[in-house]
Amino acid sequence: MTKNRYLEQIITGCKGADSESFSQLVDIYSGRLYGYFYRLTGNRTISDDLLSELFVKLVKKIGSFRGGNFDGWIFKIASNIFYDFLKAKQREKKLIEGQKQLKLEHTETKENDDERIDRLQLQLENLDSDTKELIMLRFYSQLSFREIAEMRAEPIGTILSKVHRGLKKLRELME
Amino acid sequence: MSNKTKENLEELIGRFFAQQQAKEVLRDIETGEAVLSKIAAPAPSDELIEEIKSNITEQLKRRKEHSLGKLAYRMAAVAVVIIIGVSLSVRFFTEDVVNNKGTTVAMIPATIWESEDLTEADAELVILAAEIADIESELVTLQLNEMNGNGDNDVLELEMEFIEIESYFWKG
Repeated sequence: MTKNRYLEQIITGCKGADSESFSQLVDIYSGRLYGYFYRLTGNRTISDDLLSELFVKLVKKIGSFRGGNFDGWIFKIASNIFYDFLKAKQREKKLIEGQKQLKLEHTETKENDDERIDRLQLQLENLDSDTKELIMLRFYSQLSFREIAEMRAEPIGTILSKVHRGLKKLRELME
Repeated sequence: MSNKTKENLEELIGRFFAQQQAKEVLRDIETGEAVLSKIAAPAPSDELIEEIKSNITEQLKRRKEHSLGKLAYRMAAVAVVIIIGVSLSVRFFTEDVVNNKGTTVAMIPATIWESEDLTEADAELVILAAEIADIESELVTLQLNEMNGNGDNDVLELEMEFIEIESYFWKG
């Protein structure tokens, strides 16, 4: 059985509210989706929450999947969840008195979480959130530039240029 | 399903950049993605995966219960509509209702409803109402006379009056 045929069968099972099919979907996608969320947030607790939220939404929305590229569809949901999180965080920022206080709080959270921040994660902070999201979307979703352009309703040349500049900068930072 | 591996990146870059620049762009993208591959992001914990799976099972269970409840409500609503429909049909199509409707129409003189001259019809109604009032008062008088043992002439007079009213209306 081909990979696509296997995935189609799982999706059909999910549409029929079969929990075993959903479990299989979790096994297939949770690693890539978690990597995507982690690289964007740099925080395991937040990534845990976002991944859980994604699968709650997936159960609700699976009926609206009308065939085509499932990877593109599921990563579109992931992307929407990340941007919603970002908006909520920005609202939260406005409530906190100053940027300094926010940075202090952020560092404290990370230390409390006892996380080992890898070098790549630190350098990713130097990219703007849109470029970072685009690079992670391409890397974890394994979508082509054309598919990403369609998903984000942006010209393919713009996507290519943003990814190129972002990856170039990241490589230079990592050297 | 995804096409990243099938994508001809060289050709795509060639569409947007000059030949020399295209080579650099391709190298930047490939080496940049290699950096990402080298340093893997952490994987979700087994506890998280188990929690997600059990949440999904719970969510599906609730959804099933909810849809059963919804079905019961729909069936009840359909039953109510059917009951109302049947009772209305019975009421409208029973013989009594049809008969009652006929009697009601017959009580109004057809000439009045069919008249196109509204002024004339109105005048006739006024006369009719006055005549009815006269008859009522004469009936009262008659009853009083009967009680006094002197009602024969009055009955005759009343009958004459009925005949007069009838001929007045039906002859126009």
